[in-house]
Formats: sequence, C-alpha cells, structure tokens
Amino acid sequence: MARRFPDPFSVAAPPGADGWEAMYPEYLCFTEDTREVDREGFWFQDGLHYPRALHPFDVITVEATRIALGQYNSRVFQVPPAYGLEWRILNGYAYIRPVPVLDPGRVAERAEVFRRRAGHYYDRWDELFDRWKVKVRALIDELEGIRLPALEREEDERVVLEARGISSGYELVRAYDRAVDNLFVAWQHHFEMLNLGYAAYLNLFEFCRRAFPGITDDAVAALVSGTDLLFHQPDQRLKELAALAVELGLQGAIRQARPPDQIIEGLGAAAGGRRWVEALRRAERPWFYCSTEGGFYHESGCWLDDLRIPWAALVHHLDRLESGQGLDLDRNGTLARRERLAAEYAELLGGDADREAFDVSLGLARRVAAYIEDHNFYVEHWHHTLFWRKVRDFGRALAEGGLLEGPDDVFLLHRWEVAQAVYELASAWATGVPSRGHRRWRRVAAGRRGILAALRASTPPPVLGDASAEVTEPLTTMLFGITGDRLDGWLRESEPDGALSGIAASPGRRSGTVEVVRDTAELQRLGDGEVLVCPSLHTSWLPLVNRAAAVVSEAGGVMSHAAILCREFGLPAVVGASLATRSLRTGDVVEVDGDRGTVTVLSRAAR
Amino acid sequence: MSREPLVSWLDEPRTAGRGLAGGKAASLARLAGHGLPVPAGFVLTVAARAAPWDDVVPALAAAYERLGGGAVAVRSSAVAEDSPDSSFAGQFETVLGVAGLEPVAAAVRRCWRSGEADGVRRYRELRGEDGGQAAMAVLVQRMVAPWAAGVMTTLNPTTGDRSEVYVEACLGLGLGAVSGECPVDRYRVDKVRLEVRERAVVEKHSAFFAGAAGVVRRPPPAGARSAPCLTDAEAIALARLGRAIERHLGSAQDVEWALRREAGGEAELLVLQSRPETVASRRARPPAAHRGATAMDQLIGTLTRGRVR
Repeated sequence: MARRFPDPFSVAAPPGADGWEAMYPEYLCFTEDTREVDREGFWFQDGLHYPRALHPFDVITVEATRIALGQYNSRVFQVPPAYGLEWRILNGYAYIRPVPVLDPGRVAERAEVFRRRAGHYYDRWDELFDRWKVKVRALIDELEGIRLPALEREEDERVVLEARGISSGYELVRAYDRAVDNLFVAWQHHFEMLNLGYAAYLNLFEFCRRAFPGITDDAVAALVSGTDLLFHQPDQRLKELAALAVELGLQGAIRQARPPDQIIEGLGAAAGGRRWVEALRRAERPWFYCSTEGGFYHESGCWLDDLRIPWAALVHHLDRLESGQGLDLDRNGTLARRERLAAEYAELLGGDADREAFDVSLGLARRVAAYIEDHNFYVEHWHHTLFWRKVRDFGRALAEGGLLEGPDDVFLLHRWEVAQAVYELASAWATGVPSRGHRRWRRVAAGRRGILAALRASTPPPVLGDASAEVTEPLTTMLFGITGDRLDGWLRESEPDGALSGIAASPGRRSGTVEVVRDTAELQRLGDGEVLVCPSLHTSWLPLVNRAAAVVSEAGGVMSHAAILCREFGLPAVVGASLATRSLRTGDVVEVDGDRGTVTVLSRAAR
Repeated sequence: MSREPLVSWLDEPRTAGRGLAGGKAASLARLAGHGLPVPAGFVLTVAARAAPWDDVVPALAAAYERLGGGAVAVRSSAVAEDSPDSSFAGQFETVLGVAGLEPVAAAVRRCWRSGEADGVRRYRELRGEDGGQAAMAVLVQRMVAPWAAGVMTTLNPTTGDRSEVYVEACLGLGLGAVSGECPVDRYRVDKVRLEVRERAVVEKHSAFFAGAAGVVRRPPPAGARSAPCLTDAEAIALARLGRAIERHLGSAQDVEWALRREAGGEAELLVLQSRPETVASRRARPPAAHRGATAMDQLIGTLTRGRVR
C-alpha cells in the first residue's frame, strides 16, 4: 500500500475562494515550479500557531520563521539529521515540511560541528539568555520608537531649518521598512536558542523512554517543570490586584455586569478605587501586552485591547480569595516534588552509566526550560502586540490617503504589497498627483474579504504528502507532537465513533460538558466544570481556562506551552486530538483521560 | 542442639528465618515485621514435619484457637520455595476456607504431601536440584474474603520497565487470577509518580469466592461484572504497597494480594505472598545511555539515533 496522504497539488480551493493564491507571496504557495521538490516528505498543518486561515499580511510571521528557524538547524548549529522546516500556505492555512539530512556521512560531519557550536551555547546558556533579553528589549524599544510622519500639505519647516535632507514622505517609506525589518530580526532571535532548547527536551524524553518504556510524557515533563516562568507574571499581577481589591473592599464594584472599561471609569470616583486603578495601570505594561491568543493573528489584540479576559480571571481570583482558597502556585512544592521524582526514577535505572546520562540529560533540559517558555512572552506577546499596532498605524495612514477603506484593510495585503502601497502614498504626496494605487488596493482588499471568509469556513487536511518519511527534527516532535506513530494514526484515518485520541499532555481523568471554543470571543461562554475543546490552546487563555474541568486541543505536543501550563494548573489535557472540534460539539458530555490521551463521548448533545 | 519450636507466629522475628518457616512464611514475616499488612497467622515449622503427629496436633489446636478459629487458609511454605533461584510457583498445595480443627489438620497433611508430589520432584530435577523431599513448613492464616484480589509484579514483565507495577485483578479470591481461570482487569501503575498509566477492564463473568463449604466458583453480582475491580486510587495504593515490599525485600517481587472493602469504610489491602520475580529481572537490560558521559554525547546520540557518537 502506498503510504500517502492527500497530494498537496490535488487539494481544491473551497467554494468561493478561487484565486486565493494571489493573496500570498508566490514563494509560499505550491506551484508548478516546485512540484517535484514539494512532493517529497510529508506536510503537516501547523494548527498550533495558525489555527485559522491567515490574512495575507499575517503570513509575515511564517516568512520570518521560515528563514529564522531553518537556518539555525541547517546552517548555524547544524542539527545533525535535520535541515530546516519548509513552509507553504494552502487554502490560507500554514503547512510545514521537515527537511531531513539523508546521507549518513553528512550526518556524521554535521555532528562534529554541532558538538562545537551548540556546545558553545549550552555551556553559556544563562549568560547568553541574559544577553538575549537585552537584545530583544532593545528591539522592542526600537519598534515602539518608530514614528509615522504625517504627510501634510506643506512639509514641516524643520526639515529645512535642520537641513535634514530627507523628507517626511521618504521617512514614511523607511518607517515601514524598519518595522518589517524589526519583526524579522525579532524572529532571528526567537530561534537563536529555541531549536537547541527543544533538542535538549527531546534528548531527555527519549532517554526516559529507553530506560522506562512505559513512562508517560507528562511524567518526564514533570521532572523539568517548576521553573519560574515569566508567563506566570500576567496572572500573578491579576492575583495581586484581586488581593488589593479585597483589601479595599472593591469586590462588588469589580463584579458589576458592565464592560471593564466602564467599571474602571466608575472606580475612579473614590479614593480606594483610584488607588486600585493606579495599581492596575502599573501592572498593564508590559504584562497586559499578553495577546488574547498566541500572538500570530493581528486581530487577536491583547489584554489591553480587550480587558474581558483579564477581568474574568480577576473575578475568578476574587472568588477563590473569598472562599478562603489561596492563590499562589506552590512553587517550592513543585520543586521539591520534581527532585523526589527524579531521585526515585534514578534509583530504578540499570546502572551508573544510565544514572549519569539521566543526570546530565535532565540538567540540560532544566537549563533550557526558562528560555523555552519566556521567549514566547517577549516575542509573540510583547513584541507582536506592538508590531500589529504599528502596522495598523500604516493602515490608518493608507486609509487617510484614500488607498484603503479602513485601517484594518492593510492586513488584506501581504507585506510586499503594503510596501508598494506605502511607497505609492509617499510618491503621490511628493508628485502632487493622485496615487495610481488609489483604486487598485481598495479593489484588491474588497475581493479578498470574501475569499478569506470562504477559507476560514473550510477545514484544512491535517497532513499531506508522503507518510513513510522518518521524523528527525526536534521541534517537529517536541513542539508539534509529530511522530512516526502519529503519522500512522492519521493514515488509519478517522477515529472510531465515540472515542478520540491525542497526546496525554496533563494527567488526570475528568468528565464534563463540551464547550467548543474557536476563538477568544467564544471563550467567554466557557462555564465552570466544562470541557474546553479548541483548535489550539493559547497560554493567555489559561487564567480563564482554570475554571474548566479539562482541556482538549487539536494542536500541540507535550512540551507545547499550553501543555506545560495545564500541568502546572493541574488541568487534565489531551492535545493533538486533530479532529476534536469537528467530531465534538458543544453540549456533548465527554470523559477526558489525560493519562492515556483519550477523549470518550459519554453522551451526545441533541442535534 | 536446642529444640526448634513447632509453631511460630508471623509477627515473631524468628519466623523470618527461611530454614524454620519456609520461604513463603519467612518473607511474609519480614513484611509483617516492617508493618506491612499481612493477614494474621502462624506457621507449623519445618521441625513440626519431623515431630511425632501426636505432638503436633495439640500445638496446632492451641495456635488455631489463639488465631480465633473459624475459616483459615492453609498454605505450604517450603524452604526452597520463593527463593531468588526457584519460585516453585503453583507447585505446592494451598487449601482455602478451611474451618474446624479436623479439616485444618487434614489440610496440613495435604500440604506436607504436596512437597513429595511428582510435580515438585520434576520441577526440582528440571532445575538441577537434589530430587529429595522438600523441607516444608505450613502457614495457617485467617481467611480473607476479598472484594478483589490478584497478582502484581513490581516491574513490567513484558518490557522489563522498572518504573511500573503491573497488576492483574479478579473479583473475589485471587485464585481466579493466579490459576488463569477467571477474566482479569489489568493495570499499569507508575510507582514513582503513583499514577495509573493504563487500565484494561474486561467483563468478569466468573470468580471464586470463599463460602461455608470452601471455595465456590460463581458469576459475580451483575453490577460488578463490567466495572473495574479496582478504583484508580486502589490500584495506586497497591502500587505503593508493591514499591514498599520490593524495597524491604531488596529485589523485584511477584506479589499475591487481596483487597477488602468494608461497607462504608476504607478499603484494606493485604499481602498474601511475595516472592522474587525470576524472569524479567534476570533478562539483560540494554543500557539507556548513549556512549559518552557528557550531556552533548547523549544529545548527539539521541539526535542521530545512536548512529553517531
């Protein structure tokens, strides 16, 4: 039997989406020119980062990842068996193909380089991570500092008096280039240490599986957990705000059934309320730059744009405080527990060589853990929240210049097209003649709105291409949860009715009523004790997800960020259940088994 | 030579001596000495086998009375049995649910005779041991009427995984699981994390129970048949017990156990027998480590699947 998933070249466009390819840079599409190469290996849909069809502009993070992630594997550190990840957009969804190194001689040569270069980073990990933070903070500052000059009827006189020699029009063109450049540099740094981090995770997991064939992934993950994650900070601030609200007697005011902005305005009327609002404002930057999703969609916004998420978490913390429950994650308890577990597993190993290997492998995995979690807040949340706002500023300038109908239409153009539009806007200002793109970009954006809606209504196949490929790339396994077994599972196609399987990501077994949540807006519907079923679980949802009985997500591996947080919150979770939002519906009652990675339907909702 | 006792109780330290009490009783006595739950009982020692029957009967009668009379389990405990070298599993007699001095005495004699049976001789010959008579003590314990019982191994007998306890559980007496005659639920429990890794629950259409007239086989109550024999919490408590036993006895163990559920009360686990696991623990264990002592050696080994070091 030929082990093949659907051919990427035979997947049809959904109804109403003809011509979708023109929305994206040509190099991201499956085309005749690449047919031969693109038929090698397998392609999996990256539903972890990109659960919905992408706006043309938003593929910029795909482009930045494609050049950044790949190079560190292939050319910089030279991960012995793996080149980069190749990316394609198909029907608006992102697909990834890991590119293996097949020649054993090359693998051996690369291993020597890898030993030297990766060793340099591992040996200085903490110091290099400190330097990394400085570099990325500088980038964030630089991004915030990019100003869009207003194109007035007359140029600012200072251009003359200060003999600047460069006009506002050209400054606008440069500002756009600088913003795009800034994002690409952020992604260079994003992957500077990430691939090495996941390689260290993979090493520990595989060692443990060889030593203890029955060990579960979350048992290994628990040996690494307990690091002081930056990602706890936003929620930590909310806990402090909840405690302050209790101290000031503001519980009733905060619980009002009004939009948070109105509540905050009302609180300003009294001294206690003002004090609380000041504390809120102090916490907001940078912690409320937390995207409401993973940071990969311009439309997600962050907590600052939509206070409903932090507000719901705040109320949840208030409830806990008032019912006498503490709020602090028991970090010391977690650390003590992981030491005890590690010592007991070590005791059961076969000999001193194994104990030594376990010890060094665990040490390396723990060293990289903080980076693997924290880079995400810096880049995807903090940086990207500011980035999407900056791009919207360009959208506003283009709309004001008449090239677009509204600021958000800028995201219906891809990054090269926006560069053209900005150039046209500045040139038209320079020449005094209406822009040539005046009609064109409005027309293009209008056409794409419908196509994008059609793409979003369609369901992407989870995997394409040749199923017999060997999985050799660390991120593919540890982050995306793609393994040979998983490919076999997909090949067997749909699961038998009544049971769904995925990856056991966080232990425990609980039942509850399903709430299917596709985006942040729908998250508000999640009730206490329900089972959250989603395409991808975003870390920023966690404060709200706390109230769920269990979590099922279509994307992700056992060391994906959300899985790590579910374990810390003690929420049973099954991830990588690729058919979950299609086979489960709101109202179904299911049992989630986070030890075995299964979801069993106990009863179906009336349809 | 001092005269050896005819009777020795499980909670007496001397009972932990294999030469006196046989392997089965000695290991139970060791576990009882560490405070692990073992049903109360006594041993008719190896010396009793050689003593005149007229001396043995009064000693047996006194001990049986002190135990409280009623239904007991009478089990062989051979000196060579349950040693790291030979398990003798299933070779000797066990008589369950015996009540009254006469039937108990008869059961003791059956156990003694089983030490001389053909099967045992063959087993000893196959293992290259002296084909003579097995030195034999007999263990008499209060009969347990369990909700569920069975066997567990403190490693995975198939994969050799030392981090898990493998459990087979049937309803009623453990005989159903030990004899292989009744359907068993199977559990794999991580004995470090104390977490169920896997449970396989089957329809349990038959089970052995201790009745007034000894052991009877009948279908379990309808409501119990398709439910798991053990809750996850019970399976975990069992794994915890297994880990304690293996630590006290110093090697991987095959354990026979029983679980009593009092109405409205806590479930109680009991150890009925523990012997060294003699198959999987002997198998060569391939190293989990790649060659080389540094993290980088391990990492390159992992990335290249051991092809490059």
